[in-house]
Amino acid sequence: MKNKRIKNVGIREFRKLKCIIVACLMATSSWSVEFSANLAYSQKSQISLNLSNKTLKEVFKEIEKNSEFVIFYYEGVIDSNKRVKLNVKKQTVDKILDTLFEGTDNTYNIVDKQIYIIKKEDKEKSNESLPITQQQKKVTGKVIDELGEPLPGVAIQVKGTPRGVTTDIDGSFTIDVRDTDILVFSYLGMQDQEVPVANKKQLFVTMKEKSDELEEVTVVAFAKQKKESVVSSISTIKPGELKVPSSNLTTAFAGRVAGVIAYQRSGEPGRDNTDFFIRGVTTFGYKKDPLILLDNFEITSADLSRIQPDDIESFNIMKDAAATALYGSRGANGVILVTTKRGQEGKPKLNFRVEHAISQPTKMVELADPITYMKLHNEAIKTRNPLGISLYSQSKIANTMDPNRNPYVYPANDWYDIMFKPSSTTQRFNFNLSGGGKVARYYVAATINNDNGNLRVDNLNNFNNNINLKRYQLRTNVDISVTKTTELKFRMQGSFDDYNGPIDSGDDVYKKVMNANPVLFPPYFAKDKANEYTMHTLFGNYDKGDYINPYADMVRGYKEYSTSKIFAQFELEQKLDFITKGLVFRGLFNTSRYSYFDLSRSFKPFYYQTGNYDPKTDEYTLIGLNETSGTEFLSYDPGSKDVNTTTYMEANLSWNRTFKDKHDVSAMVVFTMRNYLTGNAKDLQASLPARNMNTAGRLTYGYDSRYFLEANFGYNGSERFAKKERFGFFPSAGLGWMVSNENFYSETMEKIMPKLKLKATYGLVGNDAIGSESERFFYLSNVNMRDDGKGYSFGTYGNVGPSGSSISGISVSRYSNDQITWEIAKKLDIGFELNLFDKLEIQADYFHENRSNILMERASIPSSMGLQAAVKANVGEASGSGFDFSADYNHIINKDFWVTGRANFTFARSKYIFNEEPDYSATPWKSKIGYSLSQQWGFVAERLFIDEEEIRNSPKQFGEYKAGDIKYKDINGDGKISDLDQVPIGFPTDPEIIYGFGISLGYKGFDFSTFFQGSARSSFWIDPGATSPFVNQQSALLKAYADDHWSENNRNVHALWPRLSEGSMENNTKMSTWFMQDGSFLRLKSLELGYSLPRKILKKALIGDLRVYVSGTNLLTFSNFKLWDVEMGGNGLGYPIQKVYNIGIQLNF
Amino acid sequence: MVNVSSCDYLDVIPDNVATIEYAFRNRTEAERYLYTLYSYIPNIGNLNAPEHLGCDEAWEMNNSDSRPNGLNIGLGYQNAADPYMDYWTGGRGGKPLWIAIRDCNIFLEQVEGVKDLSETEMRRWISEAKFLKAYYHFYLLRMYGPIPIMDNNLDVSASPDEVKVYREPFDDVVIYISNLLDEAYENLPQENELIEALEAGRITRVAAKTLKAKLLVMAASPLFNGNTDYANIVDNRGVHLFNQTYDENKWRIAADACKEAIDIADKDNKKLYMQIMDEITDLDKRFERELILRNSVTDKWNCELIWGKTQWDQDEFRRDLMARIVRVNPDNTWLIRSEFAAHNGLVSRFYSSHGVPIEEDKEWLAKGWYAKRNELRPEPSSGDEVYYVRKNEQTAYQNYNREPRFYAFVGFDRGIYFGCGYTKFDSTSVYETVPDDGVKDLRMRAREANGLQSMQNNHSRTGYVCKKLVNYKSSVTYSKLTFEYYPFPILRLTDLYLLYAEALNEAQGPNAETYKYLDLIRERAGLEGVVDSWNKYSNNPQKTKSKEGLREIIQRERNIELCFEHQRFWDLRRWKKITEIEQPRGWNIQGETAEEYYRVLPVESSVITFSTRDYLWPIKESEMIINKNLVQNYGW
Repeated sequence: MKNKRIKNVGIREFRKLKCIIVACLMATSSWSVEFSANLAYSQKSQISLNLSNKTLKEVFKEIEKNSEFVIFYYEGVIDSNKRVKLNVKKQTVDKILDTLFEGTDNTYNIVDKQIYIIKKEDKEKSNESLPITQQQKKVTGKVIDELGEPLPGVAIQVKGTPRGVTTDIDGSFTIDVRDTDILVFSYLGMQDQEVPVANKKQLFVTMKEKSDELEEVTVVAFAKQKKESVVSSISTIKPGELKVPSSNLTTAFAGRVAGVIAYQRSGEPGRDNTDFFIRGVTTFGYKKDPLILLDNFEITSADLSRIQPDDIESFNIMKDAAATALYGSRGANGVILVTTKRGQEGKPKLNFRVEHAISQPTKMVELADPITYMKLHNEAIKTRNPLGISLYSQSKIANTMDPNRNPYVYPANDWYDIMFKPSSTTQRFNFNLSGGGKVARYYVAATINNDNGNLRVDNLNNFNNNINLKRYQLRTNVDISVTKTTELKFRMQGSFDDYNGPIDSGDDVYKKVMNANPVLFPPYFAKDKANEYTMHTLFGNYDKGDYINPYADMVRGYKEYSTSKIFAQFELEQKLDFITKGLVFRGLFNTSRYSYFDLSRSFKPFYYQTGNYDPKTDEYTLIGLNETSGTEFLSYDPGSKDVNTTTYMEANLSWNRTFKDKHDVSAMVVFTMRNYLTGNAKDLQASLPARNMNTAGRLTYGYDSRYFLEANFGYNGSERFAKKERFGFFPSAGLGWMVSNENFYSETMEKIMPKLKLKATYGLVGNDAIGSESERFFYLSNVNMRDDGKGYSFGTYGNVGPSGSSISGISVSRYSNDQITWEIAKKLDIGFELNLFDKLEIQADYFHENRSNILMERASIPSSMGLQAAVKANVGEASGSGFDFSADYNHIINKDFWVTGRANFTFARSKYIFNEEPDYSATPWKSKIGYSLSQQWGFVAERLFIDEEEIRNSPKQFGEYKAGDIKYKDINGDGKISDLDQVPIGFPTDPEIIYGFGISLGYKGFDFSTFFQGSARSSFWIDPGATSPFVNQQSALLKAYADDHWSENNRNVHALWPRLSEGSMENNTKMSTWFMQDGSFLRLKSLELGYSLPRKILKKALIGDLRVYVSGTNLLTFSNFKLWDVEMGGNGLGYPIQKVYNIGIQLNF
Repeated sequence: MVNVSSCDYLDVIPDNVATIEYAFRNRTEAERYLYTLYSYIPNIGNLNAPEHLGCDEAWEMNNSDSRPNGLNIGLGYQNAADPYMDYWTGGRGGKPLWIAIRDCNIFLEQVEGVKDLSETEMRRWISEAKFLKAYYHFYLLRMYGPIPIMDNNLDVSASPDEVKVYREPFDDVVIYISNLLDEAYENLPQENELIEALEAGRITRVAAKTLKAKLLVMAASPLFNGNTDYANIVDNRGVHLFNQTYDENKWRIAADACKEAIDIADKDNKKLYMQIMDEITDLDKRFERELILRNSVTDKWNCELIWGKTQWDQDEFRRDLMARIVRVNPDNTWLIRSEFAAHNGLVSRFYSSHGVPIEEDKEWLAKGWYAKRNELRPEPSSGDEVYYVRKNEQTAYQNYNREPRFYAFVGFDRGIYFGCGYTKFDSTSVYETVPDDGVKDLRMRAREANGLQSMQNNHSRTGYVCKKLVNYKSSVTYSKLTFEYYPFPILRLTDLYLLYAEALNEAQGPNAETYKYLDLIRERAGLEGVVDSWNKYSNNPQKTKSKEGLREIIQRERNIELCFEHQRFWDLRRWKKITEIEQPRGWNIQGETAEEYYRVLPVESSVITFSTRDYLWPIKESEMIINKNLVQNYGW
């Protein structure tokens, strides 16, 4: 993943910016010696000019236009507005300059193609003061940027002297130095670097971007902080790393972010969000995912998924108490902070990216062939009930096998093939423009993503049933400097989705295929004689026409939805240095509006089945199955609507000061208010606004860049609690020690490990998102005063019968409890950051969290109490612990070749500490204490029953069952299989380990990167209900089941699928070890190969950068599970996860 | 700014947000609460009732994917882990009766505070709430045996120890319920005080006394009267939950209670339904008898209904009850599913035309009808038989020569189906000549109108349908079903008469009073008196003379007269006769010809067994774990 920015600041801008390079060049005095060999070009190239009454500036411009020369000068050195006359023909440039400067005090230096205008006396001075000594030697070298691009025009100065050179167009330089010298490299927009010469003869220097946000300064809650002084645990991800060929940002998280547990369950456009949790899940409440803030404003994970990595300035994950305490009310599950880019002063910079991707399922579910399906369906009937009637006659089976059969009479459908294309396409366009002047700066961006599903488009109708999702995003960030100390920031963002697709979701279409009979009817019939004039399609169906014809369901209509979300934000920043130095006030107001609606248009298909078939003439008749209920015209369903608004206000006062160069002190206090209102509440209480009000503060102190101290608090209020419980106070504190800045840190140590920092934090964070989302006011009872479900009717007339009038009754959905209060997370984090050889950066954190006051149902209340609603209390307690680790490796081997690598590892395990549950002392395995929050309980499946004799002699199980059905273990030995025999089985469903590693290589213009991602320690279950074949005579049969099931002829008691049945068997569909699967996997998540065209060529086309690349995601997966993509877990019959091949082009101007 | 706005900003609750206090602010809301109490009436007249499909009266298509909960009980799948029709927790088709009882208590605690409620009305409402509280206790008692008595509500914040209640001994619960019913009786209205149009279905005095009679008969019955099977059901206090010595006196108390209820019923003008108060004239006497018998249940608010359920809470039930007596739109066979199938066992329990069991009927035995009952009778229907079986059509021996109730209550292949839009009968017409509005007969063989259409569903599994629960005014056309609703009987006078006869027989043995109430019912069914019938037609004429013999006769009479009315399910239990449940059998419904069709086949491939544990419901295992003071029922 390439880090994208405007790399080559136009040389011309140099001048205007009064560049430091020129300034330092002017001070140097070694021109003639250094660059005498470089006169070659100036002698060769000849220019003709005819100019009258032009300023010097314009003359220079002409020279630049007509040659490859670039002219530098320091303002004040010449009077650039002086008007001159010039008429030269085929002159070398030195001659022209001589003419120009005749009679002035200016002269020039030509270094290759660069011309430096200076004052005459400087040149003389420099000539005189050139000290050439014995110790001096020639050092050559090259300067590149982080992307491996050579940097021309980098100023290189010998530290402590005025001597220096600049790099040429390919970034190389030569300089005479002593071994003891230190070279200072500087370049606009980059950090200065000091490199000791020592005994080296060649130097390769990588200039790093001077981006406050990424390097020196880290984004912390409500502010930025010097990176070295940050003691809390914050992962910062370079936005470039999130750039994957997907229209969904969240799919990039897994394995790339230390501390995030993430997995993706579906590949359907628009529904492919990844589930992600910071350091796992430690609550039983409804909100388990982190608080996500975009430019300080809370957004949903769906909003996050739409953000373009191109627009992201910084992406931070706040993990521990010190980092999240200020967010108090909702920070307990961690915080993701995203800030968008802002305009920088300068000329407009344009960035353009186009991608085209082809995606296809990583793996398709394999179904049994139609002949096997029929045979096994017959077997399923007979094996359960010898009296049962076979559904398919022998002749039907035999005829279906005949390749010359009439396919309408003897259909054999491969529904997957009929319904789905092997691949689908996606296009993405991204554009942004930034720039500005002293007063105002802007960043505007526009994005269009066009995702297609892989449903086959049918030409039976003129409407398109395939999924098409267009996502538009517009963004304007404008910063205005009203005064020197006042800055206004406006941010507007709009996200708009337009969807067109089948009536059912793509997921449902896939699931319907799993529920469709392959042999009872074809998708549709060709028109026969009798139906010659029938206007509608003759869809196939069977019996009464209530079988699932997935094809008819797919093409019977289409659904559209439209989503818009608009954020508008206003921010004022006022420096208050006049009160006290370093004091800043910031105020922010933000509002967002969300609206969603969907609608669908569909007809009711006409279904037919074949009647009499005469094999001799190959003629059949069609019988209409629903002549009265089908429609030829479309009907309209207005669908659902969802609207909501949020407003947010923040006031922030911060103060930052350094005393005596050693004492860094900062303090901040922030006040926030948030109001959320939905227009789709289900009842009155839910319709009331949701509000939070927080006051939070932070105090930091740093001593001599060695010792750091930080203290935070959040004082949070939530409308959900009774007055006395409404506010919670959540303090936290942290310590940091920069060992590498200590006096005792030896130089050798410094070389091996230039950075070593230890840190620890501890604190409390609150959570008001407890219980379920609908439980708004715990201190009030919630009553439905008009509950039809509790109504009754009396009397003679009309009242007896379902349509009769009745009076509705009263029901209680919550009993009041004014004791309910905040859930509290106590978080400990111990970590270190270190750097080895300036190449390998390592961060590691151990964390432990204790969640208490978790709201849960009182388990001690028996049904005989007669309560309608569960009684809940803040009694639950859970813990989470683990560690996360990240390593980044950067190595530039030579000027053409660089390598970077990175690895992330997150281990998070949760545990019940206190769970209100019945007394399980007799059956201790039932207790959840000590197990993960996503641990599953189920039966231990021993094997399949051998015979009826064994069944008679075994404990009683569930419903009806026979030999070949699953035999469970009677754990407590009470002679029956019941809930008490359920034990914890498998790993938790949320993976405990997520990891990723990758490497990127660059050679000249080429770059290559690859990234692997893995997940471990999770289990999932094949849903035996959803995969049961022949349910309602139509569910599909997995090939795996067809190949490996118990049958009377093959009594394999360890077969994958038990005795066949027509319908799902209660006994076999219990949660058990039988269908448990290992969820771990490793996959080649992404692979990218890019080529950047050389700058020399691009420059002529006025293009700054041009990179073309091909990339792919999910190309390879390694897992023990073969039926479908393992990451989908139990959802394997839905819309599959996609592998994507992508081609893209990126342009900067 | 922070302090000024903090409290107000987070206080988003406007005035008048409904809380529980609002339920008793005025009479209108309190009345809703009263209706709420009624809404917990168990699934009666509903496919989800355990009683319909839970024993050998009726059967439904057994698709494991869409099986009614009651059928799970009928198949013997009851279990303790997650019981079917669990009225204790409200799970798997049951209703949460403890919630119902809590609501009754809340109502009783609060209703006196309703300002605009008149004293009389308040007293009546209190009585109704008490009755319902008693009824819900009764329902649980019948299901689970000893139960906790929830006379007062425990506070929501009660400690875990307080809420762990005990099951009280059976007899204590009976006394509690009985007293509560007596209390309720005081202020309940008489039937004639009800405004029928608005209030029919609400509790009356006679209902309270009838329920008490039913309760006491149950308490005297063998399951609960000295049942030593339950000797070991002792809780952790050492309390025996079931009495261990048989007490005949309980029958005497029960008989007295029955008599008291009957006397009150008389005062309320309750009597057996004897004539059709309707527009149909010139009706053949056979059809008139049939209609009287069917109307005794399905004629709205007729004179023998004591308490009916005024809500049809399941639309599907009527679809299953209706027979497709004409061809219907094949699109819409689901509309008239006709799946509620009379059990073969139930069919065989009906008397012969002589009013005695077919296995005792001398003529049936002599002519071999009984032996050949499951065979096709070669001679087609003729003479007077055409009022029951379509002229010139064939059916099985057992469908001929039966008592009127047989023809009134069940429908069979080729059997005449009076009503449902078709009331003109011509005894000479054969199938082809029946006029459009003429009375139809059932066509039950495969591919016929009411026969098997597809493998899956929408047909009777046994070849018999239930006519009893379908009012003759309901109608079926090619594409439409209209169903004449009626209050499903919860308490009915015939039930009370038979309870009285049973209790008297147990307490005193056969005597005139016992015969009297039996004969009232037999007379209405068009049968001779019990003594005469047995004397004349039975091969066991002495049966009516002994207590045991008469007991058998009374029990059979109950099974016939009250079939499909949720009685046999409970009767078999209290009589300790659960093992008599017959295996489901039916005609070969795949047969398209008479020869193929008239073969009796088992409906289920496996044998269904019930044992001692099935007399009482299991208490859900999770409840047992939460409340360690509970003791599980026998065998679970």
